[in-house]
Amino acid sequence: MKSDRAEEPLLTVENLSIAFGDEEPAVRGLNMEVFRGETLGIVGESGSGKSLTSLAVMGLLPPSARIVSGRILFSPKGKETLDLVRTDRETIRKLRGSRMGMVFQEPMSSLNPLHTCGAQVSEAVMLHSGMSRKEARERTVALFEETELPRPSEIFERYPHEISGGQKQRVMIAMALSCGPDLLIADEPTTALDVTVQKHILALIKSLAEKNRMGVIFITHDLGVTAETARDVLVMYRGEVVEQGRVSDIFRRPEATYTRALIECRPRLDKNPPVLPTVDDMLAPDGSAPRTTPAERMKGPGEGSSVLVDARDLGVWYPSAKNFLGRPTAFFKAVDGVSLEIRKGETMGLVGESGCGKSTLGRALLRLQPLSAGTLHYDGHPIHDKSPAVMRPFRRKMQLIFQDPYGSLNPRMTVEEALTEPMAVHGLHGDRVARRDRITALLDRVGLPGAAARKYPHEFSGGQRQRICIARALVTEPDFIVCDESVSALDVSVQARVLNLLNELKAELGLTYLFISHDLSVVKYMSDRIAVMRAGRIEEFAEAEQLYKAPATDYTRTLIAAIPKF
Amino acid sequence: MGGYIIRKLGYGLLVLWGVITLVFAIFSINPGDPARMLLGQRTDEAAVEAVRKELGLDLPFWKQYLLYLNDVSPVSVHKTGSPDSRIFADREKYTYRSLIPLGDVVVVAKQPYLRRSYQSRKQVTEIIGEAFPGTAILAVCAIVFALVFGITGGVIAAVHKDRFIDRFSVLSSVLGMSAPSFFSAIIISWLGGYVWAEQTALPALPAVFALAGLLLSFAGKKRRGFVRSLSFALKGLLVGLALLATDWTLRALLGVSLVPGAGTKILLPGTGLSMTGSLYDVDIIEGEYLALHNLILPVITLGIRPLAVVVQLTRNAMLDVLSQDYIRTARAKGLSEFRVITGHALRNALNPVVTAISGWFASMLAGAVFIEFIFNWKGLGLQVFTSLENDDYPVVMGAVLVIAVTFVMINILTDIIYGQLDPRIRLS
Repeated sequence: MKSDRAEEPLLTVENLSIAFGDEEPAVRGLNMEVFRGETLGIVGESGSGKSLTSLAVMGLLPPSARIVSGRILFSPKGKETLDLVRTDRETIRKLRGSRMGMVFQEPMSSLNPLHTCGAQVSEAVMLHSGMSRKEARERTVALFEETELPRPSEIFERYPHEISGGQKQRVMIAMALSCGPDLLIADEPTTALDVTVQKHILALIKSLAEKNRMGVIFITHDLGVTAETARDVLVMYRGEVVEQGRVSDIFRRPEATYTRALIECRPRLDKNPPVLPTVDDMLAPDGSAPRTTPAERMKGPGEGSSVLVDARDLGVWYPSAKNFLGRPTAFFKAVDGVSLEIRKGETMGLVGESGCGKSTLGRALLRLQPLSAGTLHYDGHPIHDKSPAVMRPFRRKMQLIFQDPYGSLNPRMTVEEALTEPMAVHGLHGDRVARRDRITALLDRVGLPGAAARKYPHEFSGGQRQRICIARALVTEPDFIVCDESVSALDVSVQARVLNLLNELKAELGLTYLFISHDLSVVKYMSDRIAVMRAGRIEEFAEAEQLYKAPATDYTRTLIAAIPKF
Repeated sequence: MGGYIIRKLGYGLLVLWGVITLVFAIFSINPGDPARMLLGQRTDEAAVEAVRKELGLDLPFWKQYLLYLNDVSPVSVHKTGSPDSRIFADREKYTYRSLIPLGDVVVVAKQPYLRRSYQSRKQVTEIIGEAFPGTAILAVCAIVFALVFGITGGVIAAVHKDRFIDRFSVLSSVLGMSAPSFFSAIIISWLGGYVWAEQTALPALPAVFALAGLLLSFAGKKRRGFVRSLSFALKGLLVGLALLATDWTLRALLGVSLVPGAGTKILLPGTGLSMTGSLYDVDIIEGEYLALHNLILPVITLGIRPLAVVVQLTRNAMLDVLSQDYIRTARAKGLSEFRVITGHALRNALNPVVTAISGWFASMLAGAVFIEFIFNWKGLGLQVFTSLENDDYPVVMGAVLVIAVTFVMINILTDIIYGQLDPRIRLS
């Protein structure tokens, strides 16, 4: 990429290759330039080498990785240009935090739980500026104000677990900005946050970059986010740059097939194809053209269909204060008087920000959460007051697919053991041979080879694990499945394939879904009707199309407006 | 926090009450007649009867129990008028201050009265008061020894994962953990107090090498962190010890010394260490004097197993913490490796160490019978051992109560330390 600007770039990376040990390089021949006051977006899926590149710039590569070749030229204000590949560790350490700052993906785990937020930021201030404790405190409070944290001097004394995820990310940004760096690297800074919070954080980073004339590297897997923040973009795939240029050009005329696939395979608010195109389809040598048809997706059952799950005034309360004898005197109502009817064969979407009670509601509908109030009917049978023993036949019919395919499979059980267990509990499919046949058939159905049965979860990728979780849910032949953020942890291309699989299974087996997600475009794509939840209550309830075209409440409008568009 | 501690203390009192009841029941049904033990060979029935009456052994069980409870409780009821009464407020027995006088009866606050030893007729509180400090000092020194060397060793091992120093500390901590204390006590006492009695005045050679290692770590252009310096010193110490061992062997076998000056010692008070001895030694001329050097061998023996456990726990917890996201954040701030480890990693890694060590410390305070016995160290363990041999129940019961109290206190202390270490579990 040749520079079209008068100014010298702040950071120039030339022909950078990074490898783990003697393996094939994980990043190959990467070139990029970052200018002051501008944002460079790096887009790619997990394993594409985008985070590795940024860690190399910071001098924070894991000990097992090394730079094979290339130069990283960095020209901080008032200093001569340094090649960071050939600079000694001590010099780079002094540049870290002072001339270059970094914001990480997980605000929940990126702050030390044992130090107050203020102490963690003022530590960096004191280290690089030599300020006294008192001066550093004032500077930190000022930084908190700049990053728009509410009640800055109060937040200073708070521990990370006492503030919200968005606030933590603001603390992280304040830390990265503490010494007025020339370069800010943001590695998926909003992936773990709600859309509304994401919108604010993106705006904040953008305005601070312009105000302080910082160069920003913005790493993300979400093309929409890049479109909102960056001027130039770099698309990475398996360690190589497949495309780079102005954001607007790339979105209008993507040249690389991979870029086109990335754009296509994301569910969009304005299109409704029956099957999502996937990256693999498009990268296949024969099918470089997308196989999608413009037809609209099949609609769910209409008014006439019978009700499968019927909840009335459902409540899940947690005691928030107790009296002397340990009796609760006040409650936090995670689910507060929710009434919901899910019809047979439909997909009900459930959206809302984190902490609004959507997961709790999903679990409550399965009776996995003790109910504090209300009634619940499944297929006409009251189940809100059933004992665990009486619930058992119903459990078979109601299943759950979790968010984290890494945490929801027992690492010490083979796939076969994990799938046999529910059958054994419910006494299904008779003997071992019949069960094994059933497992092979199921694995085949979710697109895994039969040999997968004897493997352990760690031998699979995230997408494959989620397929195993789906197979486990299907093993008891359920009618109703709650998908709790089931695709949120997956890369966009993998996400498209899992969503397609869920839709195919629904059509084939006549399933009913409750699809919970914070991602409105995914929910919109999957659902027939959508419930919007806020603070334990249902804020709005409508047909999917209707909800997006004419949202009835301000809250829904805010949620829709916060989705990055391109 | 205050309310929490009060609640915990309340639970603690309940626990103590349970312990008293259990201990009293066990020693009441125990065979063996204390009255006969007291009187020794002289078996005059009348005298035995008299002693039984004096000790209250003729009373029904529940009465004995209530009387014992009344004696042990810090708040109790006594009679002032009649000296014959079993609950007479006797200044000989009780150190008390009356709270509520109710005519003939008075409610008092007092120092718990644990009765008198059957053997020496001394007050049990006095006997325990003499034995407990020895045990407490031994336990505190051993735990400090274990924590200081264990945490340092664990951190160094974690930082140098899979390198020589890590392998070495893991291997030696496994050895340390698997040595039973009665065995290691004998070996250490024999080696330290007999075989090397001359040399245990701290050989100079390893110390010189350790110092040289430390100096070497500061030399050269590269600046090295504190942890690296320490590991250099440790390597120096090892080389020095190896040289010393070779020299000794050669001298023993061939009678030649290859390393000149290997025998030089840094002098400690006293000439070397002895196999046995207590905190206070008795000198024929000067009388009792403080003999701190007698602590060294028993402290090493008692501390070696917790030391090994602390090394392993710290190492594993550190390895876990060092892979956390917030450590990367700390590095991204530009903190030096030393600050990252001491300021951000170590505190996060200490919780499992506190958990393991608090229980261990509490049981150390109960006295280490083997170690106290082998080193002839005057402590609680040795006292309980001899009292049990002589059916001296009041002393044993008193000791059990004191041990129960220490357990309760250390539990509360541990909870407070948890809260200090980790704000997420700070108690409301």
